Amino acid sequence: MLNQDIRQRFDEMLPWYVNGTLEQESRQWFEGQLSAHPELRSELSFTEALRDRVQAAVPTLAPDIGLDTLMRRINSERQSSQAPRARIATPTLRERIANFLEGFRFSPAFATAAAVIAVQAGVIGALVVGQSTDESEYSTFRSSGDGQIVSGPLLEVAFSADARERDIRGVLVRVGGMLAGGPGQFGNYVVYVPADRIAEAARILESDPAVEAVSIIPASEPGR
Amino acid sequence: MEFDNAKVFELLKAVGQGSEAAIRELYTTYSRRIYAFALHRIGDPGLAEEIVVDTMHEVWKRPDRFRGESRFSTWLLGVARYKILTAQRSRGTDHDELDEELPSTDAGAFEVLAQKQRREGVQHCMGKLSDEHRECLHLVFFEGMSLKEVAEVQDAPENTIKTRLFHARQKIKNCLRLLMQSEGISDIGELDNA
Repeated sequence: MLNQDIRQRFDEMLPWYVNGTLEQESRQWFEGQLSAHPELRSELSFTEALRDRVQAAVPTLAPDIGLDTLMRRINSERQSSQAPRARIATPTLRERIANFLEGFRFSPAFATAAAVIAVQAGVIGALVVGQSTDESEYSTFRSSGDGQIVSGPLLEVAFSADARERDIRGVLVRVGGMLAGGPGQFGNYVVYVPADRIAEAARILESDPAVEAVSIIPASEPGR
Repeated sequence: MEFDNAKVFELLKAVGQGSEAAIRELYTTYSRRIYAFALHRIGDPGLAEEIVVDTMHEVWKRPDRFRGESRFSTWLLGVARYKILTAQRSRGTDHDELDEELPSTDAGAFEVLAQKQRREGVQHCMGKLSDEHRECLHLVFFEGMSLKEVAEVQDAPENTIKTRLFHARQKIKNCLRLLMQSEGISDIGELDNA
């Protein structure tokens, strides 16, 4: 008689046995159960048939399907990004500094401002020199300030690849959110919003053109 | 076909330097897998092709986003998944989902179903699954991914993946049973002689 625990474990392993990713030890246990309980073979046959149908459901297609579309898009972007650069003559750094200084021409106001800056630099310099240089007094700074741990819930947000930093900051301000992490491997960010406003924030984010996808990460359980 | 990560990094580095040959090589190597994944999830060949293009365009724009923490194909399908979710949201796509009945304990019936290979029936029933369930079946049985990899692509805990797979199989079984009943095979035992 097949007990419930064995049946549950068998069901959990079944897909991985059929797709060949089950580890050796688990595979041996699984095959032992198949021998001991022949009635389980029908489940195996069904899942193998399902696997075959999933594999057969995809039509054969050329590997370059859509490639022309991609290359056109890439070339179009290249042309549009190069065109403005050709039209606008960007001044060099030397020219920009020269232009900046040109505006002052050593006027009395400029001389006064320069004097104030020199005094301030002197005061700041004295304060820095006056500090101890003993390495033991170096402070440790953390990005999270006082080390407060955010337990969630949190929002996982995929911003559009075209979104600019200004767009991202704008939408975060609108939802009252704060970046808590990221970008992850898929380019996603983790955003903290107080729990009572998280559903509303998710709704606002979802409708924002700078955002591709949003999901709520539930609060972690204590001790985890 | 799957490149190892060393080869992938070599190609991505070239992509970062603007090499069209490199993006073409990545495209022709992975396009079919992205297409299959998208087609199983959304069922629209035209849209599936768009997803392939959008996904590889993302690789072109940001080749540095792949950090080698998984197989490249696993990462790539994760990117494709976000593209699909975006497309579905903008089109307001929704799906009829099958009701799940209590798991059947009639093992003999499943054996018969497997033997009969009810091609259209299985296809029909898979089409009625939720997007998440259908996607999960694809990753396991088409991609041959491990539990850890499926969890990574679907961005869900491993136990959730196990539950999804169990429920997906149960839903297909019950759907097939209903199909057979509608064909006049009221007693599952009659299938033996069908």
